[in-house]
Amino acid sequence: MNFEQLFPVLYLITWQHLVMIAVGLVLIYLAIAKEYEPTLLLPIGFGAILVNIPLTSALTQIDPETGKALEGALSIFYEAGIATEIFPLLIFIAIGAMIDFTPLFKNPFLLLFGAAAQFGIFFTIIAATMMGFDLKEAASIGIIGAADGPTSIFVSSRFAPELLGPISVAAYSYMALVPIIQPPVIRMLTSKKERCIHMDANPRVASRAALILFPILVTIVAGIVAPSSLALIGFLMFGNLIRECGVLNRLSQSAQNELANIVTILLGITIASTMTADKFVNWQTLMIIGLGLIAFIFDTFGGVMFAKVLNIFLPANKKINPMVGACGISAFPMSARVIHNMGQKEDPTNYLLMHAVSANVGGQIGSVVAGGLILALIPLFA
Amino acid sequence: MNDITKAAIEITGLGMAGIFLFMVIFYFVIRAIDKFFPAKTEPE
Repeated sequence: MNFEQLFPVLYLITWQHLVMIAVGLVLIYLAIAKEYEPTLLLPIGFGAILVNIPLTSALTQIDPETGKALEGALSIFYEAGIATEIFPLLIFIAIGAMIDFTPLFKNPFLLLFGAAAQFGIFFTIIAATMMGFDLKEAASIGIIGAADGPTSIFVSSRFAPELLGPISVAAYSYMALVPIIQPPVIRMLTSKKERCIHMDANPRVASRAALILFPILVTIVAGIVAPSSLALIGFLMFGNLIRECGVLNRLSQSAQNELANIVTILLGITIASTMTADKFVNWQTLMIIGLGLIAFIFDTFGGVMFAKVLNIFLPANKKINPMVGACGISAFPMSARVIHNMGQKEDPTNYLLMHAVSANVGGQIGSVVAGGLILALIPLFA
Repeated sequence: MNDITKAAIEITGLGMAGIFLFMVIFYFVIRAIDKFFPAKTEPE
């Protein structure tokens, strides 16, 4: 028996494999040292190492002697959890159980920023088509701008499963980088005077009946207007109903903790099964990473500019601080915190947190609605 | 401009209009719920 037979991996490994192992190590470093979305980036990073060692039994391999497929665990997880869309939907139940919609009842008008700040998704779809991606791929890349990992995974697993790896990495990385991406864009688009606008606080709280009815009515309305969005919105609202009903505290806690944790582990490492060197080490990946950044920048642009346009029509004492518009993305509560801190830096007496959180919760709904609409619209054109 | 990009622009128009439509509906849903199940005011 010669050395090649003893250590076949050393003969099969290529520089692309080594690049992917390095990518995995970088993701693990970012997760641990910088705490960038560690719950997802660490499993993805480790999974990237796991699937880029040639002949790995984590992926399905063809036995050269018999020609039969030897099933790998990650390939099975992928078929069972991602191809069927079950993992992202289970995560939606968990997220729904974590969301408190009370801030929306304080400032329902700020829900509209959850729509405006989805602009980056669509701008990026246009940009991606100009760079040579087809419509389904472009939509999957654009949805990075939802700033919502499960929605990105859900849409891309349906339209462009081959791009799932880079799209997921871009989505989660940029979500972690919101404190770095948003402030310069906001400063570029607003004046000091605009950033110092104070907004009145609304002391109202929602009744229990209102919080119970909201997820039910939203599901019914979403079903009537766009049935294809129901899986996304319905699971999110189901999770929220478990939280708000008040009689399922045990299930609510399980959804927020055990369910979220287990599915997150499986989701992260399963996404990594798509990050094999042959699919990941190419120019397309770099373009996707770049387009993802564009999506986040134009999300911020959309939210801020919408606020500025509204301010033209609003009376002087009702003006909206345009920075709040930037919170219409789904990165919760990071975006709200970033905007509140920016407001405090400009004027320490300005407390924007409550309004920022309201817009941010609107963004959580907006991103899911955007995902649902893309699922409905793309098949009509592709 | 190729046909795919034209389609993407059309999708952008429909998509943004759709999201705003959804949000406006949700806004009225909240207002309606608030009217029939009024919110309390937080004590000072």
